[in-house]
Amino acid sequence: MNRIPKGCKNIGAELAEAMERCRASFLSIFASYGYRPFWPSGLQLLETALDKLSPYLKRRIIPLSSPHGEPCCLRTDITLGVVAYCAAHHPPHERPLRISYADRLFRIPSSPNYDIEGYQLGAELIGWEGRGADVEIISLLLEFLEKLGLRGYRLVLGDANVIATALEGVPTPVSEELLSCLQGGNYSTYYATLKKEAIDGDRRKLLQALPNLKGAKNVIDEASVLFGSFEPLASLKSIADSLEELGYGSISFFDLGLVRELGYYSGPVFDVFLEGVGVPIGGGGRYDRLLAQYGVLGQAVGFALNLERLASALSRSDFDAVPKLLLWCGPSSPSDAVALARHLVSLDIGVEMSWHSDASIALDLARQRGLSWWCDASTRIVKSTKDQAALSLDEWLLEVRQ
Amino acid sequence: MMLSIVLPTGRVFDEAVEVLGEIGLPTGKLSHKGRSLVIEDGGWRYFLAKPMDVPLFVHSGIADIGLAGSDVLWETNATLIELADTRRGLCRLVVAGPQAVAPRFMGHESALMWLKVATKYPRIADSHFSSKGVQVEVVHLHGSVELAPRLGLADCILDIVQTGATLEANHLTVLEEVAPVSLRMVASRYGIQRGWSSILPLVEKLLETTKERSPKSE
Repeated sequence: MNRIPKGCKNIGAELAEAMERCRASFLSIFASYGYRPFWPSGLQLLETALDKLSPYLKRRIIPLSSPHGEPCCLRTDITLGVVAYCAAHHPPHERPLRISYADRLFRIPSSPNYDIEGYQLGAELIGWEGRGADVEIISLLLEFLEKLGLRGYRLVLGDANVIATALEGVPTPVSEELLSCLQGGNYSTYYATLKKEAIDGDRRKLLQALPNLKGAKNVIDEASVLFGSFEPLASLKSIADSLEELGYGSISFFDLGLVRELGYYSGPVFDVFLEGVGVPIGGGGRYDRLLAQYGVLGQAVGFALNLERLASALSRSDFDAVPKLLLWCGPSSPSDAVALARHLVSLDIGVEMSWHSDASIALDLARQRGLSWWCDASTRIVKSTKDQAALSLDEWLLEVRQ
Repeated sequence: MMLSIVLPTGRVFDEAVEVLGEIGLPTGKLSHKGRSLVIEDGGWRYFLAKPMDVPLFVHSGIADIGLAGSDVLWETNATLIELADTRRGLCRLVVAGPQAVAPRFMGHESALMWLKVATKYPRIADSHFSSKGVQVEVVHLHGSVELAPRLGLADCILDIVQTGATLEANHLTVLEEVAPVSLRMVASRYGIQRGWSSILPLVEKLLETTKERSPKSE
């Protein structure tokens, strides 16, 4: 057996096909809306990573020395590269900048997972202060998921500012502990901390209720009653209304206790869940601190998705939508066969060519590949790999392209 | 919408079932489970799993909710939401060993360097001694941990202790307290988003019953 390092994977076959389909669809959709592709460096300088990554990611850095003797780490985070690139290559008047990417990450595994490498799809909208940025990027994310044909996914939104407002006036060590509990999902310690600390009545009531406010859009209204105002909830409410108007109301949910990466996000945040998967497959939100660290004023909105988890959720039928056939080219001249293959591909038919001289071997190959159709390039007769039913290529094209 | 709950088999199973009963969930079929590992009762689906596997079932989204010991949660470090402490299944995580090892725990921490620690909890052992700046040799065992010092496999053990009878029977004494342990109600991040309206009343009921059971600590 050929072993590969523990925590690494060679991905092929159906999963690789599904991942490629997701990647291509993602970059294409975002490119249509002006998001430019970005290919980050595989190594990051250790000093940069240690200076700018969140404490959680710092603990997951895989350090090494480059052949030039520079202390580096394998790429731990792509947003870091995106922001560094934008800060260095685009003057302020070129903003906002729209970037999308699909690439690998390398991190020390976090129990119970063993993987040290992962694949991320992501997009960032950098340098737009006004309204619209959150809705733009979230709606594009949802458009992408919708086009993949996924079912049962949901978006869960929260807002770092809502929690920050609720914690106003709470002494720093206590507020930090409460935030840390919410981020770590430790509600029992959160409530125990609230109980033992001296916090005034209304604020205590608000902080007690906040993590329980999960569900449809109406939780925003419930929170406004507790806050006595819509002001802290204005961003979230505006996003909720827009998503509803865009037809995403049924998949948009709200969690007013949602905290993602402490100190990193500065506004609305969101997680993306797939049906039956216990942890989010990705998420993002509005951030400003990383931009400031690179000398860029203003805010950005971005997100990242776990490409492998996303592709694993696609069923076989989701990516069999394109009709495919095996083109037996044995008796044909190579140029004729390739010309026919090109013609079929131009009609959105997937083609795999077989150059074997024996038709029965080519037919077996088609079955082995799970292809339903087989075509003799010389006679242009198409046969079903199941029952050998035969029809002309023109008839078959009419049938599958209806 | 049917929610699923994973319960630990073994020592704490009966207490886990009592917790479910107290918060108003059906437990009739759990009391007569036989060898079944999946039980449906009154609109709830229960899975039975080894205690150490409960967090993974919840983390992966197989179960929406689970009852797991805080020792197991610490050891597995899965991404979960810890909803409430049931204050059941109470015990302690301790370092225990023969009396002869006790002096090493009374002086400077350097005396603990390269101690051999047998445990079912290698992650907790590593984390506990690392936090003191001490490097130890962790011997990962899957059971009968108390035997290790007696047979010379380790200097001491890190394990849970309830009454102390097993330690005593094996001539071991508690050298250091690590953490109190109790049964916790946990949920997956997906589970709380999918079924919060069903989960929240359970948590509230659980907090109410634990409050009633231990009025002195309130």
